[in-house]
Amino acid sequence: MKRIFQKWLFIFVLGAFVFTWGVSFVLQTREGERSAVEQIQLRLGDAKVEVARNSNNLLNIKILTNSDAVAKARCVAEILHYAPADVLSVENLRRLLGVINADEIDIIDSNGVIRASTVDKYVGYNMDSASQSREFLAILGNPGLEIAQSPQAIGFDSGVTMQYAGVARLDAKGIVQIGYVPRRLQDAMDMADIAKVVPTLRIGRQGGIILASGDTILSCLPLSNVGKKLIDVGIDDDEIASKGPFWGEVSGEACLCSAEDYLGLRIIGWMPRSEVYAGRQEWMLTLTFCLLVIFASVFLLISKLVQNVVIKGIDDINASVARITGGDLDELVQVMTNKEFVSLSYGINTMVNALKKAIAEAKSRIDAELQVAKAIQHSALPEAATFASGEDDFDIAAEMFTAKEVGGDFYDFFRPDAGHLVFMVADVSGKGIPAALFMMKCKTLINSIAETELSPAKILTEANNRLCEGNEVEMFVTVWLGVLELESGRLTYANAGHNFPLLARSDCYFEYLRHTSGLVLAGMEGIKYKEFETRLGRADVLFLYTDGVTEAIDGAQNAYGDERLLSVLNAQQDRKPAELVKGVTRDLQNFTKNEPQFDDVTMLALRCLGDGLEKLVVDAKIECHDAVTEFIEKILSARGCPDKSLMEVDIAVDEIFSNIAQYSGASEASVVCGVRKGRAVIRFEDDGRPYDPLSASDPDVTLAAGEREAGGLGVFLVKKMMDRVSYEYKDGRNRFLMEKNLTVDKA
Amino acid sequence: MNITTTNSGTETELAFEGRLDTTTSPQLEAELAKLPAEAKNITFDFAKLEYLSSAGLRVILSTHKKLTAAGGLLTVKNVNEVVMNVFNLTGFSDILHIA
Repeated sequence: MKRIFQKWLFIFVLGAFVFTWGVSFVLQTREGERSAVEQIQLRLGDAKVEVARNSNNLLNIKILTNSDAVAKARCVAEILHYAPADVLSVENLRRLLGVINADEIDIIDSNGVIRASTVDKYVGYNMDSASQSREFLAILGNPGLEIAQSPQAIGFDSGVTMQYAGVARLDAKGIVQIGYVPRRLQDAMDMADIAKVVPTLRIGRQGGIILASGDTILSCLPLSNVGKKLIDVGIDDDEIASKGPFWGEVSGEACLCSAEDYLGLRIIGWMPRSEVYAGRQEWMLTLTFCLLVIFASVFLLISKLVQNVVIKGIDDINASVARITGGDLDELVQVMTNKEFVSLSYGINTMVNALKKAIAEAKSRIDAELQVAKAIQHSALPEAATFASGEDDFDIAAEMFTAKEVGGDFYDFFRPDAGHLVFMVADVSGKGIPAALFMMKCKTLINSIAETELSPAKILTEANNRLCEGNEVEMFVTVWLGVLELESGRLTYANAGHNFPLLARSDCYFEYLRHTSGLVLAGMEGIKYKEFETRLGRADVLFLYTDGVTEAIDGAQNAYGDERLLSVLNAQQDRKPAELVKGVTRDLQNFTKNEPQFDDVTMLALRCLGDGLEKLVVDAKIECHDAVTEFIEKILSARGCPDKSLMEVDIAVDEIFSNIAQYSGASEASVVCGVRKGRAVIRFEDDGRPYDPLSASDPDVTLAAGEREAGGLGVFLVKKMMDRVSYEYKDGRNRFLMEKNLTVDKA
Repeated sequence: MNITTTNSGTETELAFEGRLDTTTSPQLEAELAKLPAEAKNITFDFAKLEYLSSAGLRVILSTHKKLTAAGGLLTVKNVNEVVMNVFNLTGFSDILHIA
């Protein structure tokens, strides 16, 4: 901006300079010419006065000379009148010459012939023989006539110039003629010769006056030009005719000229061009210098002013605005150098304040919404503390700490039916609201698929295909999903790109449960996930987590890491899931200290409390009795069941299975057996007729032997031998459950 | 289950080894059926019997009834804790002659 401004300012100043300079030049040119013409005219006037005076002088001299000559002629005539004879002698005449100061005296008779003369050779000359002399003959006819001639060639000898004056003789008829050598008149005329006067009339320093008669120069400077033709020195006759001032040439130099014809003379005043414009040049030099100084000052001053008043203000405002757009909304624009900037500063500040207010409002609204979103997200996660009841053979704990209000991690666990626990930990790519929305979608989707599908691999395969449909945001999610068969402790699991979980067997150390992982969910359609299987027994603990745990960093940018997680888990005395999660959380906090959490952190721990129940499926035939007994004995004795208890269990098993085999009409029966929380647990299922053995009343065991019936004793024995029995008919199957405490004998 | 029968006139003793349950009680019934009609006094030696179930009780009860009706006597001896418990629970201990 400054550059553009300076450019235009410079153009303007330069324009003004050129304009002013040009106008001054034109004015100065005119002024120079006008002044020169005025001087020339003045000098022409002076010259004219000189010429007039000289001419007048000449006339007077002539008149005086002529009247003097006539007087002298009259004097000679008077002398002749009184003494004609003597006077007529040559000697007298010559004496007389000296007296009257003349050069020649001629006495002419009535015939017009010279009778006596101071010049001998003129005696006898007939005046009528030449026009010059003939003029005097008029006196003979008119004695009152007095003639004074101009100097001219004499009739006797045209090579001689004389001036004559003549009067009539008083003594006789005739003429007295006095002659002068014209030198005298010439001397007098020379005294007043204009040609001598004119060179003194100077115009300016170098200009002057040219006096010309016709086209011949009579007088001028330099004198070398005298006698030349006007055209030869460069003055054109045609231009003189124009009457105005004109440009001519004198001695090869251009001159401004003005000419005037006066008293038959041509007076030309001239001034050399250099002198005409000498004033202008001087003026223009001074003016140029002054203009340069003035305009340069104006340019610098305006530049400086613009810099200080405008550019600096704009720069300051720009700097402030840059800070504001850089995110510092507390920046105040304070350019108070002039009214406009004050107004602009105020405007920007007001706008920023309004923006700040709007942002704060939006932020508080968004904050409130995010808090709600957070509550919704957390409420979507199952509550671990109340999930597992005292009846359950497992204990579970989970936590999610989001980096922002809402996160992309999630954990989930639920029982799709009474016999299974589905649990998972997942990590959506990204964080914040998009991840949270995607997380909710994934969680809901997996949840709904798992309602009807208990194979982890199939759940993930289906979930992947569904997530891939229209996944335009190209988000993905890693999931580790396990399905625990509660009775048996059989764990099937599949992994979609998630971290390997940690598994601790009973009292052993935690180890990574390594297996082949599939691609992340929503990454590519058509992926088939692999399923793995293991069995969780009593006190086995499985720990799932997201990479927010292992990739958490401390102040020195060190990652928390797999090893530290492993050692923290192993150092944990109490392996209750809640304690494990707390322990890792605490260690993670000690590790990261005040470092901001940059990723969501999620953990889930699952512990098995009992050994898994095992299952045997047999034909509902009495032949299978021993197989069932053997199956149960093997399990229970392996779990340390005392012999006595074992036999009581055997009795009960015999009663129940024989009922099924002999009376239910079932084709197939299954028996599940194991130890749970110190109790032997045996459950029979069969597809026979619905029959609740517990509905029959107990036999009277106090009757005498003869009144006794054998029926009903079996179920009665079962009730007595077992600590807990129950029956239900569900899904077309009779389900009979019995449990026996293994620790305290029932008397 | 193994049953060892020792017969000497009216006195018969059956020694049990194993379990007397649904699958083995028919074996006991068959064994008893083989005894001669004059065998009125029968002794069950349960020393090596692990346990018995209601199926066994049923045979014992019917044997007891039959012998009593014939003026004979069913004696049970060497009853272990489990079997004794069963007898107690079912009131058989009141009926049977337990040596």
